Amino acid sequence: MVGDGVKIGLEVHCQLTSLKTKLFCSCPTDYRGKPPNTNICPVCMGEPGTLPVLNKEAVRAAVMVALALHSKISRFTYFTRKNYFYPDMAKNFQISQYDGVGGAPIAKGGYVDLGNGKVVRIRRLQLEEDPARLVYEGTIDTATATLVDYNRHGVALIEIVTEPDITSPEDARRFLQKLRSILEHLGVFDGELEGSMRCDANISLEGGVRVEIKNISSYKDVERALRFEITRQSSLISRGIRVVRETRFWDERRRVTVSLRVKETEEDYRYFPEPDLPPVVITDEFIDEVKRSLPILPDERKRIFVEKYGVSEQNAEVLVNDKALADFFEDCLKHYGKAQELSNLLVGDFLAQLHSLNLSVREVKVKPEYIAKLLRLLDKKVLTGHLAKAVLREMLETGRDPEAIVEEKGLRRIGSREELEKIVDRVFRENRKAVEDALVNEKAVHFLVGQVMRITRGKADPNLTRQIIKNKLEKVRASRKA
Amino acid sequence: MPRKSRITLKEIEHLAWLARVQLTKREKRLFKEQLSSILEYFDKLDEANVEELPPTFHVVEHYNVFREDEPRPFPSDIVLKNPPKMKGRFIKAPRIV
Ligand SMILES: [Zn+2]
Repeated sequence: MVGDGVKIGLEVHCQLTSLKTKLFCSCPTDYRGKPPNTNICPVCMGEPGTLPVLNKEAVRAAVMVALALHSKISRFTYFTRKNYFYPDMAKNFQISQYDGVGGAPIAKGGYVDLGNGKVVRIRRLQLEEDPARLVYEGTIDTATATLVDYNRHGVALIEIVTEPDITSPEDARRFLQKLRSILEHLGVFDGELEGSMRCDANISLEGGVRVEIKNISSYKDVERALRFEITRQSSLISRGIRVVRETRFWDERRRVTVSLRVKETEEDYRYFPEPDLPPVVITDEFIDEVKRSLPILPDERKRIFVEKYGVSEQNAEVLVNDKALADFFEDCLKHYGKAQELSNLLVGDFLAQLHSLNLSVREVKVKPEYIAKLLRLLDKKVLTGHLAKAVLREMLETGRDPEAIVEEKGLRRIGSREELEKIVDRVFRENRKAVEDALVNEKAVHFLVGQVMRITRGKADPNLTRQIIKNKLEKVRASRKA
Repeated sequence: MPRKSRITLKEIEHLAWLARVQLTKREKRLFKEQLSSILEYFDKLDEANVEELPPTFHVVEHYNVFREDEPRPFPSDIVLKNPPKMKGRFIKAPRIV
């Protein structure tokens, strides 16, 4: 079957966006929206006679990440030159770390709990420089020159490599979301910044070989790229064609992976210890100090949501997988005490509507008090579930007070029996055929309820409406028997 | 020690490709000789018994040389005097894919 025996490993690159300067020079990192080649200096441009000096906070941030991922921190670590000729590196090498023989990345091992019974082991963490942004004149196929913007070049990246423990594209996405949430809780990373997280994936199917996919730059694309690759590989296998071990490139625009003829092999990078940077010794005292300063992390937060607030495991997992959502939940909780009801609204209609409006939680302008007010309007039956959805939509679009929206648009639930009976009478008069159907077929009752909803634009109390319609049908039956 | 060529012509060609340089036939032969003799010298180093010694990453015993995370913007126009080709504020490089 398609998707059976899938093994996926990820190599995730996250910018340590909390850092104010690049990894090895004092250039600022606020390059977004700036003209090309503004945040550059002789050090990151690799000019002769310059010396890189390690950003102290990058080490602290990497140790925080290592602790949060339960990794084993190297007490002795050093940087390595990865040599290659490509204009995305001004020096013709990237200062990175090396996991092979003699290498010592900043941390090894660890795991991320996906919260769905699955755990993904971490292989290693390392610090390295972000490459420059390349722009092609014309399209990538026809370009005659490459234009390079070194603003991003040299920004600190933490590379997180997993074991091939992920078994589906959905779990790959889930892993990235959980990782993002962990890093955002640590305060070292902002996933909302464009291009702050990129990843490569390797994937093999049962009995197949490992294929690498490069250039995945969003959470959604990880799932898309892996789905594409599973379909491609399983179609080859089913036609008896051998899958070749290769590196492929994710073409974001066309949503396909294409073969990359990579001629370099691992040893071609000629890794060697970076002579310009002294090694780093990480002491137990430093690790303890960082450990004491660690903020609350998603798994612990989930436990509190479940045990202290009484939120279901499932809702709690969704909440903590997005730091902004978990924060918003806690803010709303100060104004509305029924945690489970609140979480239902947030992980349900709230997220669904944000998705359809293409908004992130951080872009939400609704005050937490207003979410509490909306829930109270539901509790007091001023609103039906259907109306609450419409009010919530309006709130998300305008940030307005739900009570004001209800008043202005007349979105109050119609709960008066008298008023509803009049409307039901009208529906019965205008839909004689449907009434005949409903007399013999229970399902046709839905249609009549629907007509009442149509006339009241969803404001009718659904239970009361159904009850009135049933009573009326009963009366019709009785009068016919008589 | 008998003189043996430690490096093949094919390896020289591969290295030239990695370094993005073109070599003439004469240069290839010359570098093959020169690199081979360098590698032979390493054989001599290999004779030393270093079993018990930790690897040396640096000749000076410096550790933990750090910099505070404080931005010091550099005037980029000075840096941009060096690239041979520009297009606007972009640095122009040959097509690579
Ligand atoms: Zn710089």
